Amino acid sequence: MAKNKSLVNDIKKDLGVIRKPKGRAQERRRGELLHRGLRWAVQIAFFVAFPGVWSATFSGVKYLCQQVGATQPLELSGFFALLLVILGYTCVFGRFFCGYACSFGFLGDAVYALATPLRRALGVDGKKLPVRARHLLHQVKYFVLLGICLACFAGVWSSVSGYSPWGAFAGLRAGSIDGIDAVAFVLLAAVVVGMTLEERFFCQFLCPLGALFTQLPVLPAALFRRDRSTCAPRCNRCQDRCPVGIHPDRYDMRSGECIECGRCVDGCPVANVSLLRIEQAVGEKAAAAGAGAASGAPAGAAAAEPAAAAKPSAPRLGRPTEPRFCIRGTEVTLVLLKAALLLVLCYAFA
Amino acid sequence: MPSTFRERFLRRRVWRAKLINAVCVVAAVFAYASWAANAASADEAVRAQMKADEEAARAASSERGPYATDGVFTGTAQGYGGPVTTQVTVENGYITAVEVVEHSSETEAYFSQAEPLTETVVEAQTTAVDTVSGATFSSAGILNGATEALQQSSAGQGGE
Repeated sequence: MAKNKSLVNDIKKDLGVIRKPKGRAQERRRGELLHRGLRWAVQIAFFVAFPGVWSATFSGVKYLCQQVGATQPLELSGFFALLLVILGYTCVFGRFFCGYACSFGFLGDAVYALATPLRRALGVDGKKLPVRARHLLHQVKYFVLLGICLACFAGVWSSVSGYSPWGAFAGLRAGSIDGIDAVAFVLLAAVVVGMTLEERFFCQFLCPLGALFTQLPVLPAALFRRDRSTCAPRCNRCQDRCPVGIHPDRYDMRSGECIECGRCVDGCPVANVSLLRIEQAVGEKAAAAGAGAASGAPAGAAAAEPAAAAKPSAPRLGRPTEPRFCIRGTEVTLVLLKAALLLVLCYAFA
Repeated sequence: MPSTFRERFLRRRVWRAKLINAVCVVAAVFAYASWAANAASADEAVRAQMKADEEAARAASSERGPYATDGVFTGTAQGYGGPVTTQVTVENGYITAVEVVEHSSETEAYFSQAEPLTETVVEAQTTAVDTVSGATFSSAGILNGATEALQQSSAGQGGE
């Protein structure tokens, strides 16, 4: 009971932060809550409007393997066209589809959020698997993808697809469950248990479409990045908050795992994570630093040491100078534009 | 962030490797698609000839096909969103046409993937064919409906 009470208190506190943020930390928290709310809204909209895009897109992969396996011609229609469109979109904008539009990803987020009281009761809330274990488990999805592709290629997929957990999920949604093997429901239940304990369990470790997305050459400009020279030492909040356990480093090997949720952006205490950030020129930076020093110290002291203020020193940790121009990546307009484009593509091709 | 050309080049190496992989895969798929399209058009001519031959043989022989009663039969089965009604025409004991007459509650994208099954059934002369993966429920609606229709034929209930 006490655990549930603390949850209620947390929610009350968050509502207070949304209404009237006090201080910089609460303002940051407010932005985070609002962006998460926006993401929930977009996810629910896609779940209602296009629940089948994930499955249909992956059917494009199965179609390709089946046709090649049976040496049949490829037709640029239906699932295959949708697959190409979603892959193209992902190359340009990153895995926005995973973070905002995928019905199975939404299921994972919803299950994880609703299971918060359960995790608190078990005392495992906020505890995640060790990062190295997660990075190892990330590789499992490639075997899932490979297995399904080989089964399709060999033409035996139709005899094993009855065990598919997302077949069971689709069946439950459609309300017709005859012809679906009990094994499928057991697997689905196992996945749901995983989802309650680990955020984005399925997406990180098992999703075959995610395996494909991870290997796409996503434009580096579409991925988040941080300037490590201004990071607070041993902070690591970006990775701690990341649902897939990576750092926002766009050139890193693991950057393909990023689902564009933007939590690293909202969680950074020094606003260091962004999509695009153009720093002030050296002269301007020094002027800004000088102005900062002047406001903090007696005016005479700053005037007496103009040389020290003008020195292009590294900005102080935790307090970088304001950039000249910055797109952080979680701006409401940007998210809505990306979502609108994806919605149009889904409407046209799904 | 001071960066020389060399640093920028090295920094992008993961992205570049993925790009090269993706281009190779796309090229391979494209090569396959153009080869398979040629092969398919050659196949098409042969298949049309075989079909014509088979129909001629059926017309020439006095033997009936596997289905007992001739006529137009309909059957209804559960698809993804609701009932799907399929109409099967049996002539001289053979399936000559399969048509879906009612699918208003199906999602169009899935249904359009499953609809070519009607031709598959005519070719195979049976409803025991593989469902279209990704459109399993719509496929089941069509195939089960057709099966129900064919049972009427086998049971000797005259169609219209």
